[in-house]
Amino acid sequence: MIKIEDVLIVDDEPSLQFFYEQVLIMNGFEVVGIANNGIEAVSMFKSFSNKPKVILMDQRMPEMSGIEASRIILQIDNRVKVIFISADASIKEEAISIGVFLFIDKIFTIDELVDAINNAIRSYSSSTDN
Amino acid sequence: MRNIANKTKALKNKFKSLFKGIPIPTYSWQKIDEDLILIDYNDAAEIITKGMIKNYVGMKASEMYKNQPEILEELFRCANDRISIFREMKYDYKSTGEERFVSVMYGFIPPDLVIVHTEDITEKKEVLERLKISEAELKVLNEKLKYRIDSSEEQYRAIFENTGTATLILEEDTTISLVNGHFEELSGYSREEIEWKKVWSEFVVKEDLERMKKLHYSRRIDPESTLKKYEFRFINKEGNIRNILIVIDMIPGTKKSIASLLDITERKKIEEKLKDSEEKARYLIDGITSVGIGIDIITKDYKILFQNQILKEKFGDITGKFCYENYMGLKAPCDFCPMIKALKNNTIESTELIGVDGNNYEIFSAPYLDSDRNTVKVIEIIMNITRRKQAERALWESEEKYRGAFNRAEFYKDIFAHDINNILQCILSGMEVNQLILEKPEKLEDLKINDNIIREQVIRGTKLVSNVRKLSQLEDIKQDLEKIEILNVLENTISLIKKSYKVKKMAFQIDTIEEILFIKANAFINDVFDNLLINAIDHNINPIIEITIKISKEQQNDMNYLKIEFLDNGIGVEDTMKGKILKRGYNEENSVLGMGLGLSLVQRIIETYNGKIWVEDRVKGDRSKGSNFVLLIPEVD
Repeated sequence: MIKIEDVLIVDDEPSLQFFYEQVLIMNGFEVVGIANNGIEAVSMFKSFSNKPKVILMDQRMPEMSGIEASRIILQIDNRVKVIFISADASIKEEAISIGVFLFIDKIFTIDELVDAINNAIRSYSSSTDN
Repeated sequence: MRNIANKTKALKNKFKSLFKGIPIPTYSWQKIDEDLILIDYNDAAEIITKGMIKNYVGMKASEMYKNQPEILEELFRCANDRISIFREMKYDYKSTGEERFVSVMYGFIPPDLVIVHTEDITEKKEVLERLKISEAELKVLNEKLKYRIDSSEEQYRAIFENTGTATLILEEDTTISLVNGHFEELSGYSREEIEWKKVWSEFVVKEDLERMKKLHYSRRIDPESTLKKYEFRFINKEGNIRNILIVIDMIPGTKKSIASLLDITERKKIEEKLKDSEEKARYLIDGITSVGIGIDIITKDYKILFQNQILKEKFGDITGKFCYENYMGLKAPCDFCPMIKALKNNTIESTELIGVDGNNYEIFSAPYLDSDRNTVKVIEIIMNITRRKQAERALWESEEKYRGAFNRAEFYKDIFAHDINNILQCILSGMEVNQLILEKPEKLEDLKINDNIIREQVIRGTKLVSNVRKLSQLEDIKQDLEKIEILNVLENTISLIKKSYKVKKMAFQIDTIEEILFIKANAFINDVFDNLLINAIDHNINPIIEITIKISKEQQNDMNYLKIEFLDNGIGVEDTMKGKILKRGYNEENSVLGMGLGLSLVQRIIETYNGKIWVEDRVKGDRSKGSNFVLLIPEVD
């Protein structure tokens, strides 16, 4: 187990928000916030004085998509590791091109999600150590 | 002897009687001593001298004619040379003092007599003088006439030369007797080579010769009935063949004919070309006609100049009439008339219209220029495009259908990619979380919560599939509407929802103005209520979900509606989302993703009822207090 790290959840589906939160907590992460769409995510990220290291980002949301929100957030702080979650594989290339750390296809298991978050935190740590 | 003497005496008397009786004044002179003496005279001399002559008998000639030596000389020449002399002269009659013209004949009679006959020719001379004058006048007149004839001939020759056409005069035997310069040019021969040396048949092609010979001889028998103007082929000196128009007639009072030849070779070529063009144009028009295309020519003032058979069959022969009246049944030119623009801009214009017969037509108007390149009329090509239009409509409908099918396919793909995946992800994640919980006894309470979430996701999935199917039905099948009592439907829907969401605490309330209310709708009204209520439940995080259904009446634009409001205490709808929340669907360009399908289905159903739907804040200006979904559906008594 790595030390407790902060994660931001961005998804418009309340049930998924609920399960993601449970999974993260049970795996020793701290959920610093839950955003219902891209606009809320950007707004929250800006408001954090201590920025989360990892963001779980859904793509398809009302008002602002995950791609748009990721682009803005990464411009604000490109060290943050965005884990992009979508059933639409066609946007994977675009997501990677804007600096997203990892693209996870729906449907995934909890183990896959936890592994992805751990990898992201390791990557974050190594990049900031350098 | 005595007989002889008697005979001589008798002869002398007879002579004397003859001498005296001569009607011409006659004088007898005898030569005596180198002179001539007047010895006798006759009765005519006595008359003409009025008897005065007797006084001069015995007078010598030298004395009598001392002042007229020419007479004296002639008298002596006659006597001496024994010759006769004749002359005319003026003579002064001494006996009368008159001056007369006389003819004098001196005759010698041997041995010594000179007989002088004088004849007064004064009258004759005067007649002759008058005749002489007349002759001079005649000569002058003749000269004048000759001049006139000469002038006239010159004039005629000048005309002959300058007719502007090759002209020739033909003799009865076909000899060419006269040609002008134009004929020389036409034939290539000089007039010296032609005139009286050639016959006209030498200049005619073999095929035309027989016909022309018949005309030549017929003309001389019956000129009036014989063709005077016709065409033939002419061969010139070079052997070239020219097309000629000949005008020929007889010269009155003669057996000659005069012919004018006009070279129409170039004209014939142009005519041939024109004929060829006309033929092509006719074939073109016939061809166009055969495929059902109408052609007409319209003047600037909208009058029909020409129609092809198609238009005649359809509208009758309406040449000379106004196009707008007869084609369109209008009293003034059509606003959309393409010929107005075609005439103005000198361009080809077109338009599509529906004719008085209900068919679709496409009209092309092309400006038609006169020889001065002024646009004076238009040629119109009128095509019946009804079938094409029907095909286009069918194609468009087909395209729409396929576009719709494509959009539906995309839409369903989107639903499966997002909504169904989300549902499945929730179910999988919920189950995995529950597995983890089972290893942590302190969390067992959460199992029930997660189970309910998983159950709701299953219901949600079922509902999604149902909505997709119903949305598809709405698109594919025309919806018949009937009179439906809504309160009963609403209560049934609430009852079913309560069974589905057993764990949620919900409070429903219906505020209605009447107990029985009818709308014009169909069975889809269940889905309207169902989806609106589920939406209110799903987007609510309060421990108790409160939903009030308020029913009232409203009139808009003379239409009576039932106003049905669904007020909830849920999370509310952002102002920016209020216009979009109902829009998700496969025909919406700006559809909002991640919003579920229920509200879109509601929107579609309400549209088929000719109703309206919108969303507002339950408490105006505070969306956090919940939403109010408002329906207006036409009421039925």
